[in-house]
Amino acid sequence: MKKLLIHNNNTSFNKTDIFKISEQFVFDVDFDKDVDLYIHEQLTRGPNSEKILASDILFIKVSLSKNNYLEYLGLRLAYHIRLTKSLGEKVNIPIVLIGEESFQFLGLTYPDPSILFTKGIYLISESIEEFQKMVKLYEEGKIKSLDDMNTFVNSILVNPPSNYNSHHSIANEWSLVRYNSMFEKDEKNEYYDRLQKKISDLDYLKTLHFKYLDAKATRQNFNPKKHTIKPTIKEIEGKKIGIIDDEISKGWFEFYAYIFDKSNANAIVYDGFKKDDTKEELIANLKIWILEIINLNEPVDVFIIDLRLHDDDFAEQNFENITGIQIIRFIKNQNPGIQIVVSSASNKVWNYQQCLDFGVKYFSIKESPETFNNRSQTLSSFNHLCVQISNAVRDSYLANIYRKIKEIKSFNIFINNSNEKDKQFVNQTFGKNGLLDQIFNLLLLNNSNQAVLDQCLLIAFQILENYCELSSIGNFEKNKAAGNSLASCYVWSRDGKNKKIFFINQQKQKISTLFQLKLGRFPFQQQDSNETPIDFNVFEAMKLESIYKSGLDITALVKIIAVLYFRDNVPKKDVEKIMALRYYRSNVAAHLTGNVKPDFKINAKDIMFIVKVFTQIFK
Amino acid sequence: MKIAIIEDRIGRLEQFTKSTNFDLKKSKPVSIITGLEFDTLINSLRSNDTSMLDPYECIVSHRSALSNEARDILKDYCRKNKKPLVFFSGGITSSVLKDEEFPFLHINSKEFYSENLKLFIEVCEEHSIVNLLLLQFGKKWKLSLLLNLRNIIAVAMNKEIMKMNNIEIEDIELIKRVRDLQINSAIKADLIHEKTKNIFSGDDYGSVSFEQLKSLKTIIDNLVSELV
Repeated sequence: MKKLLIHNNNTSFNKTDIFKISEQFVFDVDFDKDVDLYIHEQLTRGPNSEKILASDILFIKVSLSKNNYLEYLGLRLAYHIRLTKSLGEKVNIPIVLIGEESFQFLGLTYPDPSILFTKGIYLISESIEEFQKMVKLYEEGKIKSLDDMNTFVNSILVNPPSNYNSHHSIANEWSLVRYNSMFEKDEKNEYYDRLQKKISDLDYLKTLHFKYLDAKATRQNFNPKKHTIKPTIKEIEGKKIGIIDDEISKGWFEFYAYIFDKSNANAIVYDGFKKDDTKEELIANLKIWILEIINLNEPVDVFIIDLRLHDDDFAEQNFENITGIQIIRFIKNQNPGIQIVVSSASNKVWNYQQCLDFGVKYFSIKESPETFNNRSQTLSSFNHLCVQISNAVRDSYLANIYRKIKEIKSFNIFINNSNEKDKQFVNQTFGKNGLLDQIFNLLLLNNSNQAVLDQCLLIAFQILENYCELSSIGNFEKNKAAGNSLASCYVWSRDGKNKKIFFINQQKQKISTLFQLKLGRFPFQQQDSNETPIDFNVFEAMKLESIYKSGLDITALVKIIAVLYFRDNVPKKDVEKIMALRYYRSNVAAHLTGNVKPDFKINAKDIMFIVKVFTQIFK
Repeated sequence: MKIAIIEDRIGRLEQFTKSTNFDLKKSKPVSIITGLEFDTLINSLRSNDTSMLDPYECIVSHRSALSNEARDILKDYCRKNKKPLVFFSGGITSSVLKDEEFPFLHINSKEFYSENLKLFIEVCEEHSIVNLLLLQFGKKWKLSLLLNLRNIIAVAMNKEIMKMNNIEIEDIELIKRVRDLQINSAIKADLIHEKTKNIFSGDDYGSVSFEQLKSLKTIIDNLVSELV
């Protein structure tokens, strides 16, 4: 019988007649060292681990402390032996506990007693007679090993250590380890290596609680073909993403740095978390950091934020006072278009519902052992995180729109004009809840809904049309004899001092003009629809044309071209894009004429384009 | 009886006051070393000057508030002066008490800032006793001592039996006198019973027989059952 006695010089069996020196493991936790770390080290390397690997049966004192019996470190060690994977088959070894207590007494006085009632665990008292009886039973083959790890894992319960007593702190480390365990090996990547190092250094992996959860979760075999995680996020290239997570130093920085590196994006991390900072100090420091990075030349428009960022948040009753929420409100107050992904370990749906009220649209729940326990779920949890980040990046153009609108408003166009119509235009367009705000608010509400986008386009053209109608911008006279045709036209120079004339009515249905419309069909137009102005030719000097040939009626389109190109110097290709959007506006957004192919839709980038044109013309 | 609590994260202490209604700052035996006083202590420890700790009978410190060097100085100081030392830390999974060279408890911060701390301080104040088991196990502290003593007795009795069975046992390993039992004075009174009173009637050098050990073990068995 290859046996091993584990004790703390607190037994009568440590006599060489019974256990040779090589059959003893003196358990002696180093001064000032965590007991789980000590046990993990003993079981995974060094002579004591070799002794266990060479044994067929273990005798362990219930108490392994000299003076402090109730710690029952022998039971804790027994759990570790069952759950430490590196022991291989020896995890099933029969364990004989030695103590004066009964199973019932230990059950009543040890917080995690379930191991006592599993197969392969025996209990004897400090008695040579009982020891000899046990040896005899072993030799008769009556002492059994654990034969079914699944049943064992399902029948035990290991409570989290008190420093991990919140669901939050467990999920933070658990999810990181789980995601990483499913990544393809990528040793050439510097960030991958750093992530592996960081994870192997995590103390949590050495705790009994982690080993227990890991044993439960890995009952489902890992299938590389089915479960491997590709650590890339689509369509976030070139983006800078801000990360605010108090667990950042526990491997989350390396995690994000790795997946962003693989996706050609950058993680900008707040690394100023200090344990002794008060909540108020933390919030103040975070605000300074946020202001800095959202006002860079290439600003950060997407943040990944955890909700509970300070220890006090765990005792906070009012959700709105949680640090993460205060930070979200601060960011949204600076720029409501900035996108936020709340990545939290909270499994409370109402927390996420409340986040909606603060303008958050994207959420990712960090995987936790309670909510996820198989590989497919881990994969889906990771993919969900990636989709949320990708969507937030997609919508981050809203931050830019907000900045542009703010910039446009700051131009104070017509501020010195006394003209009532100009003033009305200013109020209607740039005022609070004016047309520009309406565009932004609609996009914020839902920028993927076609009806919303069409409505934004209508408002944008309403602004353009109103602008072109202003007498301080230009004047378009009608040729009364020729219906709707232009008689003459000029626009004011941008300083308002000079007129620029580019249409002059001439005799016999002729007009001197600086440009002529070109007819054709847009690619998105139905083939059987009428031709429409799709472009315009600009002449070097006034040219005499038939009013019928030039097609220069007093339409909004002609006014827009005239003002944008000849007054505001908008590049020709941009004016042509406006022409295309104008056609869409008139044939889809305003009236469904059927002239546009049904599969053609405008998108948020088109609205952004018009807002950019506004920044040029209203400057 | 004075206890020094060295704490750099004062918010935690305030949270404790809120949750237990026990204001540590107003507690007579307790001195909180924080803020400027904390900085002064750290500077003193750097130059190996521990005199600031002399007025205290027990030192309790947030483990990570101190550097490795400062921790070693503190441990040496407590070892030399046999002063109980407590390190509390958020990174400890299970508390461990060592009581060989001096009483030294390593405990998780959440377990430290609990009702047990209140009990520990109250006992310090009323009885002038530093009982670290109170911090670790609260009201169950006596149980731990009794179980420990029972194990000592069981080991001793088995050694006697083993000796009778010709297993080599040195006389020095056997319990011959009351003092060999290392009975903690806090539980002594509970152990005095009709069958055991003779053991405690003399001084600690009085002899103890196998039968007396057996009786003592039975008494402990009964006491233990009552406590659970």
